[in-house]
Amino acid sequence: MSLWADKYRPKDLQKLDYHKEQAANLSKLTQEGDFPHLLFYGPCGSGKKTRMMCLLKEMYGPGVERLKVENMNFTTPSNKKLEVTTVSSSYHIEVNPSDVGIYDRVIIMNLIKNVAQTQQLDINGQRAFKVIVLTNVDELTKDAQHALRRTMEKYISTCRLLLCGTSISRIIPAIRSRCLCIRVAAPSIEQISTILQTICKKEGLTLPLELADRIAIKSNRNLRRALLMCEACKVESYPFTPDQEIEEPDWQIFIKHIANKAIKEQSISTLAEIRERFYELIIHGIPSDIIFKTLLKELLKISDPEIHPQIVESAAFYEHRLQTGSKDIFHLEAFMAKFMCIYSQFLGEFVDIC
Amino acid sequence: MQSFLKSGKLSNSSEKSDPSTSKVVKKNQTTPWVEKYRPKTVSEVVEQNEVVAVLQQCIDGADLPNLLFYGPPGTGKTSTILAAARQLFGDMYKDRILELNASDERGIQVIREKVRTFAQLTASHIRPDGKPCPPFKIVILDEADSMTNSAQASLRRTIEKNIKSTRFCLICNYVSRIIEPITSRCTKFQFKPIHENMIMKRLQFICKEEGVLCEEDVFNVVVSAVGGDMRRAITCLQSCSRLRGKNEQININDVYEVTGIVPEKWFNDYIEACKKEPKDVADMVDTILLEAYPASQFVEQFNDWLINQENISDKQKALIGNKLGVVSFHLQEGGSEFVQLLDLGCAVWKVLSKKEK
Amino acid sequence: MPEDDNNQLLKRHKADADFENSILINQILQMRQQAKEKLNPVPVHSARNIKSRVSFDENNISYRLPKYPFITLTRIDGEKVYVRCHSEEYEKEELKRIASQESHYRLLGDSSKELWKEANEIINKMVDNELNNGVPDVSEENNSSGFKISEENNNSQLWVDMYKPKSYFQLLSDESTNRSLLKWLKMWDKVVFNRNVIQKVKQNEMKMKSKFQKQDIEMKFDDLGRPERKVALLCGAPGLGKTTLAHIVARQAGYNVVEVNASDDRSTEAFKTILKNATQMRSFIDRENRPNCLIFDEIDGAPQSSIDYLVKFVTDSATTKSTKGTTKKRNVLKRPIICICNDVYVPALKPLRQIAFVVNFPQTSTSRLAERLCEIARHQGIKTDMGALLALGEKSNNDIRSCISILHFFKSLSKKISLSDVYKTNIGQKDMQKGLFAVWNDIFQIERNKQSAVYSSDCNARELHDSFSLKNRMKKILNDVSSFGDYERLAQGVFENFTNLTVKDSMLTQTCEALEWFSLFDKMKTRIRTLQDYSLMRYLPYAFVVWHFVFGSFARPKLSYPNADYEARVKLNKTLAIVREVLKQMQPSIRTYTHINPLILDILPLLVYIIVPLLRPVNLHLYTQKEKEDLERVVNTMIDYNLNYVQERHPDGNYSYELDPNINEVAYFSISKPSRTFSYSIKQLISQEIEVEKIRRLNLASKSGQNEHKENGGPKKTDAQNVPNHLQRLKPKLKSPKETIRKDFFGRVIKSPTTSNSESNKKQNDIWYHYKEGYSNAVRKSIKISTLK
Repeated sequence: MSLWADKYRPKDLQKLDYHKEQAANLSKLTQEGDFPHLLFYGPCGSGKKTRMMCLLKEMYGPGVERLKVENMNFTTPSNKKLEVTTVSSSYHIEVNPSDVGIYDRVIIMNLIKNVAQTQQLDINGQRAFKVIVLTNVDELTKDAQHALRRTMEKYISTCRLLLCGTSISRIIPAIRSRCLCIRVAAPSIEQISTILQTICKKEGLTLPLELADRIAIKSNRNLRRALLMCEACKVESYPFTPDQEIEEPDWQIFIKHIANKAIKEQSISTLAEIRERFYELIIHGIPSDIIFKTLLKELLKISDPEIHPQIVESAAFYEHRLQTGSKDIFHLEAFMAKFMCIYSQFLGEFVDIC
Repeated sequence: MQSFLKSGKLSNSSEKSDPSTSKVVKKNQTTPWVEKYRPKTVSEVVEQNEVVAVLQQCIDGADLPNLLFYGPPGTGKTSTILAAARQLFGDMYKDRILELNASDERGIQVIREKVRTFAQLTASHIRPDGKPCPPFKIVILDEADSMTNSAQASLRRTIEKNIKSTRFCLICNYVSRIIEPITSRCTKFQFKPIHENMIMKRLQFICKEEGVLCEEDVFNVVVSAVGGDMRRAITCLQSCSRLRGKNEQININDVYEVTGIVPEKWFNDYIEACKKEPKDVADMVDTILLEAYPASQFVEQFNDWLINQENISDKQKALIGNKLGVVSFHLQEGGSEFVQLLDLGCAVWKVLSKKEK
Repeated sequence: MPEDDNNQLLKRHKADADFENSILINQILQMRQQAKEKLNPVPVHSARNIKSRVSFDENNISYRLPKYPFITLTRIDGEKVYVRCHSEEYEKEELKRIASQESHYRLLGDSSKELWKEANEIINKMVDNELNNGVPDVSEENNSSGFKISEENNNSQLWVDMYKPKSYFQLLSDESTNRSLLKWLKMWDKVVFNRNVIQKVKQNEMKMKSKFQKQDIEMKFDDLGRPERKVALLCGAPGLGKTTLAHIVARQAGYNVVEVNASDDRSTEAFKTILKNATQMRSFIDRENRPNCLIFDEIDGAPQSSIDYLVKFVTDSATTKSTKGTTKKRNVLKRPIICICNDVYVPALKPLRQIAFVVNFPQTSTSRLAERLCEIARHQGIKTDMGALLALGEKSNNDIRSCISILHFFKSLSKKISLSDVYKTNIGQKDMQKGLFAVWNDIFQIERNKQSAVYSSDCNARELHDSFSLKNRMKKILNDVSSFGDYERLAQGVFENFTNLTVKDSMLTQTCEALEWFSLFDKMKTRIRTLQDYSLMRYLPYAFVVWHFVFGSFARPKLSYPNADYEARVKLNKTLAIVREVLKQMQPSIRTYTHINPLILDILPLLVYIIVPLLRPVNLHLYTQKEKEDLERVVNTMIDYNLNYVQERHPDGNYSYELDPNINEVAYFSISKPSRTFSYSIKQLISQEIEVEKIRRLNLASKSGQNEHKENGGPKKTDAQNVPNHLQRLKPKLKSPKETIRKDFFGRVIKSPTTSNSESNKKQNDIWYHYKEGYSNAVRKSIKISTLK
């Protein structure tokens, strides 16, 4: 636990740095010794998981921090063996069903049944229910979500679900209406900046306000990334200078390069080169929707505003195709070609006017 | 996992030292209010006058046709049939109904097996306590529109064959997804969205019963947010009260939080950004998403909000509405929230900037 | 072409020198048999018949100088064979004898005389031939005679049946295959024929058999005299003549063939009855004078249970039917069983495969096939040439059946068959399919010449001239693509190849169009796959038309096989494996907060910067306080994220330390600027420190486990709050995962704490670490772990 992001993670609801009112509400929720199914949602690095663990600690005491990692095995009806990694304490079990792709339904059905059906006879020593934490619920297949919906009602007396996902747009309304949804907004720039400062103080370092702000902005309101960036900066050169270079994840720089390349020259050979780069991004495990989003942002940054609506429209079109298709490279390249086409036409008109 | 399953209890010694556990004294298993305040009789069902009238007649005659209820969620379809069953059979209604819904296995095989065995049990026409009751049972197929066509097809003969001993009640949201042969075998009833006043009354009643304190316009917000869905309204109210604790007032922000409603401020900001430059729209969209507002909700509310805007012409509204449809569809199929909202923004920008020219 | 045939035979005979003996005998036996069969459809054989047959061989042909008058024949391998010359009187006498012998159980005495006459005629003829040619050119003779008869008898018959091989020598299939099956079948003779042959003959037969056995020692028999493998399994592609071979060989070896094929009921019950009936000796031997040989055709389609039963029956039939009260011995399987299948690797066949004598059918050689076709053609009066027939054979993948069918078809056209006819013909639709590259070529290249019209057979003469028109181009592409079928691979090929072409499209509008279709194609494909909505399938080929119009040119495209997609997938899996490795052994308290995506997107790319602080490559002693802290931080971080440096040996003999798992591969891209890396010595240092730290943690954990047990989870919380920062880090170590498990156990099981206590005590007492400070061995001092920190 020596990374700042891990070391200074709040462990109690009272110690949370932002959304304090929400934390207080959560704390109230546990007072009765019972809570409904909860659904935490918010962007990456906004502290959903941290809040969840704090809530559990509030409920069960420090026992929830004694975690262990285990593998569980499931068998699908078609006799395919599945293995998922679970993190569990004596009070809760956490699993990411989307690890197994389209078989997530099996995991959900079996896991919940397993947990819910083993009820403790001695009720005095414990809560009447167990907690199952499901992460990345927005990546669940529709099938799995439907399975979840009935199970949530059926086993409400023996288990509670804590769901966690980045957006609830992809979660079916039936689940949403059965949970108490808790929105975890990303911390604001100022909040991040303050947190960075306090942590640096704890470490015995002085962080210039300016640099803190710059890191906060660059992290795109992602607290985890901000902390990592800050630590990377510290490793790079310690007495901080306000205009110090901030390390960015390489893949972002890489996408920037792609955007620049597309602006520079529009031809089939560039397209071929860019394809290689897309492949490289995919190979590095960067999810395609993130590639798309980042690329679009970069392109908008460096192209002229007149063609933005056109670009965005084609982006929306191909992004949707990407989600409904399976070969990501086709759609990425199609969008790229469309952009080049729009851009070169724009340049052509521009030349004509001149 | 094993230890999680087995040793989920705090060892006695550590429990004493554990402050949070000792706080808890009693365990009250709270039933959802939705269950608690379900109508008990058909006449209690609000709003659906036509259905209620017909069903009341049926109950008086102690008979029931095969039924097909359709309508948006939360309009009392399930409640109605359950209430009717209760009235018909009294206390033993639980033995007389078989409820199957989409989460259960509902392949053709299951339908055949379960329904057949259930239908084969003959129902006596006298209750245990000696009162007369109709000699049939009810099979409720909830969410029938999610059944496969072949399963539905296998059902139609089953319906006819067991007409003597069993009545079917199919419940669905979209009647168009039920195959013709089934609809023709059932009496169809449409359930309309419940009127806002009715929901309001009900909520106020529940608040009084449960001793929940509310700010004045909370009800208004809830009612407008749920769009005629009674269940959602009640769940929302319960969630708020849970979140707030026993003795505190529920305010509007709680409702916003719980329902995931996007406050109006954001629409104003959004449209302001759309008046400037596409780049500003991108920043705005980013901010909205970082605030974790769901895009689907945003689009839905934006639609309502847009229609009520005075300073945008009808033609512009139509153009934007066109785009809204596309964006909503893309989002439904899993499109990226950022890109789609940006697309919407750019469309708005285009429409608005044209006007200036 | 007798010349050819002779050569063929010569070759064959050379190879078969050892086997020749029995072949020769069989051949003669069979000739007679055949002749008989032709006249009397009802086969008549008896024990006596067999006896006479064998004794006839015995008395007429010999390797040694016989006592009777003989003609000497020299075989090609130099061995001499003596064939008896009978006097005319003997011949007559013999005939009379046989007639009298047979007439008492046969009504058709006269015809049997005639039969014998004819049989002898054939034999004589054959002998003449042998004399003339110096080689036993039986097959040629036999062929022609066989064909003649069949032609006379059945003009309306299908050729496939008409030209079915009637004897062993007519078989087209590979000789060694044929022989091995025959050999196997012959091994049954001992069990099958012994019983009903009188003593003397039996001896004779045994003699023959013993001779035969000498030739292949590897053939093993079980204790009942049966071959070790009781079932033969013939497998090979359709149309190679498996069934024919089985029938002929079985008949040749003197069996009555009982065939069960897919058209028969093959439920387990039916199977049982068939097996029982066919293999129980008693029931058949009296009715027909030949023993049964069971042939299960198309066994790969039989239900699993039937096959299981068969296997069981074959392996332990001795025990199953002892209930009847008869001796066990009588119910043992005593008849050969031949199974035939196309695909030997059908899962259901697995048990059978293990116990069976598997005969794999190789492809018939095209030249042999062509020869046969040529013969047939000549026989039927079709004008053709060898080249065309060779092509035909090749085209049909050496499927004899389909070749003969095609020939039959050509006959009805009654014109000369030329090479081009064969190529052009639409027969055998499966051959219309083109190769992958051919289809890609068609997409990228616009055909210039008019021959392209040939592909669409319904083109009429006028359309031939404008094959260049868009309509025809589209038609052609649609036709090609849909007949190929594997759209996904085709599309991938087009996608990966179009960038290498010289397409003039400066504004990229065309390319955009094409790529839009790629996108649409993928969407449809995905929909088809996920929803099984095959109604969309018919629209897929149109995408290829668009690509053809956009990318097609007159230049010859250089194509390569598309593998970028596959490679990308392989590499992606590698990346994910690295990330999973990191996740796998991460500290659970950190693991719970992260997942694959945040790890890839946020943590790893920045972690690679964080774990390389500025450290001087000097001795650990010389480090400043700050550097020591940095080092400690790096070590702890790396342990948290399950990283380490591992020594690797390069091909050039140098050693280096590499990150393991190598997250650099995940975090860095090809354009990245080279970031700071440690020198060899620092990596070594870190690696050592990590090991030490790991041991220290383990030690601490076991100690704290004891403490915790004693205190029983006392008020740790307050501790943590008061302790200064650098000690706070130790807290999670106290709660290392292993300990929590143990603790839970301690709570309930009384026995375990003592054992683990002693274990950990032992650890403390028995293990000493020699910690070498510095890099040279010159200065050495012993340090205990506890003194380290």
